[in-house]
Amino acid sequence: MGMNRKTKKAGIVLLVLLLAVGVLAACGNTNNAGNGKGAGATADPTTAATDAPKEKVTLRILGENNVEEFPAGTDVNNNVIINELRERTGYDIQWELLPKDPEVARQKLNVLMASGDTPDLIIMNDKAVFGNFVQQGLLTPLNDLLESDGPDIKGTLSEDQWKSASFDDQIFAVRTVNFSSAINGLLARKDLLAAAGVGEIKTQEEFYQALKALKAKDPSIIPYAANLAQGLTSLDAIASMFYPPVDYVQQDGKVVYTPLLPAAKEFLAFANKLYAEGLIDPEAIVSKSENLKEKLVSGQAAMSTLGWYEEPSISKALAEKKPGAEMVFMAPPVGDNGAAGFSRNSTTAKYFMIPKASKHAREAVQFLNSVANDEIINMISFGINGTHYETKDGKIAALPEQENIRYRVYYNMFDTVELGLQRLEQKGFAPYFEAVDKTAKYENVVNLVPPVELVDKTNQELIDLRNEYFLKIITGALPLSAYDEYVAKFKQLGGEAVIEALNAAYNGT
Amino acid sequence: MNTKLQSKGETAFSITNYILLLLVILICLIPVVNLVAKSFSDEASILAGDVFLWPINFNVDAYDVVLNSQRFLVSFQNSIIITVTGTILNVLLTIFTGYALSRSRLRGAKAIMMLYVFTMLFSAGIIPTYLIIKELGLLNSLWALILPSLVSPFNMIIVRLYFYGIPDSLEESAKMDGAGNLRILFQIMIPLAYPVIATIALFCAVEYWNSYFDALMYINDSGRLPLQVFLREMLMSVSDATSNIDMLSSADVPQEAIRGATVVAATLPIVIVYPFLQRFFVKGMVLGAVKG
Repeated sequence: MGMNRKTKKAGIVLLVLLLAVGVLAACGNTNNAGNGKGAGATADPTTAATDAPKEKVTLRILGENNVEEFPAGTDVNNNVIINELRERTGYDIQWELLPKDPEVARQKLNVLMASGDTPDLIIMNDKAVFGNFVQQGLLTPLNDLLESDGPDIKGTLSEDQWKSASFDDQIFAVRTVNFSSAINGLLARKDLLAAAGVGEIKTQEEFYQALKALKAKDPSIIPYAANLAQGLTSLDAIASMFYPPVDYVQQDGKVVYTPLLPAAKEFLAFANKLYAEGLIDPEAIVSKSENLKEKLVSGQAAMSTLGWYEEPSISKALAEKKPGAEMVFMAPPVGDNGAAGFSRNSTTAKYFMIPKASKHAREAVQFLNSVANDEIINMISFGINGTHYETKDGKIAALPEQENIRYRVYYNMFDTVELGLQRLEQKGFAPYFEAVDKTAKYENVVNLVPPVELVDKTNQELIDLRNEYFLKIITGALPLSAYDEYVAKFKQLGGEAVIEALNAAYNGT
Repeated sequence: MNTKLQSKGETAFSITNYILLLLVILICLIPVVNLVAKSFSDEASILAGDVFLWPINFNVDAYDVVLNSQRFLVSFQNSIIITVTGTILNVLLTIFTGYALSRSRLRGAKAIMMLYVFTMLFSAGIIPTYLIIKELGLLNSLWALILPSLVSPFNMIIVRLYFYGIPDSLEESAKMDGAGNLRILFQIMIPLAYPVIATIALFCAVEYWNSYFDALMYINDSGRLPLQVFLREMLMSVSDATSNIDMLSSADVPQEAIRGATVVAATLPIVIVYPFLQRFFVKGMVLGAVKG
C-alpha cells in the first residue's frame, strides 16, 4: 500500500515535470519564431538591390573576440557605441564574435564559410585565414566596389596595403593599421646589474661580462632566463647581436632566411658558450612562459627577452615580493658585426574581408566607407565628445564615464596608430610599449607580401626544423658541426623554393 | 575480527594497498588544493610561484570579482537551464524509446533499432548539422544545445536492455488488473528501472553540463553561452591571447587568482550536490534489486 502511494507520487511528479517542460518548450518556440523572423529580414532581396537604402540593411559583422566584459545590461549589440554607430552610418550592424579558443574559432569560420551562412564582413588579424579564403575563392573581389562605393576607403589604403591584399590583380581585403608594432625587448633587473658593478651594456663582450658578473656576485641568480620549451623567441636579445631575429628579412632588396646567414652559426657558438657556462638558465629547455615569469617575479632571474605586455604584471608582482627591485627594458647590446634590433610587426595587420556568399557586398563596402573617417574612428576609440571625453589643449582627456565603454571590440574597425597609442596611454601601458618600440626594427617579409601558398604550407615545418637543431646545438646535445646537417635538411624540405617564392612576391615578379 | 581471518601476507597486502591508494588520492587532490589555495592568495605570490597547498596573504578579492561578474552569473544560469531541462527531457525520451523498443509486440522494432544504431556509426558531419540547426531556427537558442542530442542511442540501448530483462508476465498481470499502457510504464516499469535511470541521468547531466563546442558553434549571443565557454576564456593563457587582434588585450589577461576563483566557483555547486545525488542513486539501486 505504502509502496503504491509512493509510486503514484512518483508518477505525478513525472507528469508535472512533463508539463513544466512543455511550457518551457512553448516559451522557447516563441523565441525561435522571433529569431526566424530576424533571419528572414536579413535575406530579404528587395532591400539588397537599392543603392541608398531607405530601410536599414542588416549587416552581419564577424570579428575576433578581444572584448573586455560589457557592463551589466549591455552587450556587443546593445551599447552606446554601437547604437551611435548605427545611427551615424544608417546601417543596422549586428556584431558576432568568434570564439576566443583559436582552434574552435578556425572551425567555426570554416563552417560558416562552407555553409553559405556567411557574415557580410569579416574582420580578422590573421594572414593564414585570409590566404586560405583567397585561395579557395571564398572572398568578393573589391576593385570595382571600392571604385564605385568606397572613395574614402581608397584614401586610407597605402600602396603596400593594396599590394599585400591582392591576388591575381584583384584586391580581396581592405587592410588597416593596428598600433602594436613592437613586441619584445630585453628585460633586465637594473638593481642586480648595479649591485654586480655592471655599467652600461653596449657590446657583445660587455653583455657576456655582465652575465658573468651577475653569476659571480650571486651564484644563485640565473643571469639569463628563457622559455625555450616554447621556441627561440626568448633568446632574441642574444640573437639580435648576430642577425635580425625574424625569419625572413630583406637585405638590399633580396629576401634572406636569417638562420642560413653565416652569423647564425656564430650565434649558436656564442649561445652554446653561455649555456655551457650556466649563464643561460639550465632549466630553460623545459621552461614555459609561466616558469619564466615565475623566475623573474621571485627574483631568481636577472634578464630575459619578453613581450612588453608581460612586463606590467611582472613588475607589479616583483615590487610586492622584492621591494627595491627594479625591472626595466634596456637597450639591447650591439653585436660585433654591428647587428642590433628586435623584430617589428607590420602595423598593417587587419583584414576586412567580404565573403562571396554575402548578399550585401555593396552595402558592406558602403558601410566601411562611412566609418573610414576620423570622426567615427575617434568615436569608437574614445566615445562621444562631452560624455566620455573632453578635448584639452588638443589632447583627449577621458571622463569617468569612459570606464563604461571600454569594450574595445570596435577598435577592430579602421584605426590609426596615434589613437592606439593614446588608448595605451590611458590604460597606463605606454611606458612599457615605448621602451620596446625604440628597439623594434625588422619586419618579417612574410607579413609584407600577399599570401603565398608554398610558404603557408612549408613554413611551420621549417620553423620546427630550425628550433629542433638550434636548441640541440645551444644546449650541447649536438655539436656545432650539426649546423651543416641542418642546412642540408632545410634544402631537403624545399626551403630554397620558399625563399625564392617570397623573393618573387616581395619584388612583385 | 577480520584481522584474525587474514594471514600475515594478506595483512601486508592490505596495508600496501591502502598506502598506495592513499598516495594516488593525494596525487589527484594536489592540483585541486593548489587551485583553491591560489584563488585565495595575492597575485604577486602566485606569480612568484610561492603558493603551493596553502594560500599566502589570504584574501577573497578574486571571489568578489567573479561573483560580481555579470557574465559568470549569466553563464552559470544558462548551464543550469541546459542541464536541468536537457536531463529531464533526455531521460524521459530515452525511457519512452527504450521501453517501446524492448517490447516484442512493437512491430518493426528491429528496423527502428537499426536506424538508431546507424546514427551511432555514421554522422552527417559538422557542416550539414550546422545547416539543420540553422534551418530549424535554433541558432542562438539554448535549445540548440539540448535538442540535437535528445536521445543518445547508447543510453537508449542500455535502457532497452534493462526493460528487456523485466518479464512480460509482470506487464500482463498489471493489464489484468486494468492498467493501461501509460500506467504500466509510469507505475510499474519506471520504478523498477530506477538504477538504470539514475545512471543515464548522470551521463546526460555531465554531458549537458560540459557543453562547449556546440555552444561555440551555434550561439553567438554572449548572454546565452554556457559556463564552460566562460571558463575556457578565463583560462586562456597569454600565449593564446597574443594571436589575438591587439596586444592590449594580452596585457589584460585575467589574473591567476581570478582564474582559480572562477574554476572553484564553477565547480563547487556540483561538488556540493553530488553526495546527495549519490545517495539517491544507491537507494534507487537497492529498490530495483529487491523488486526485481
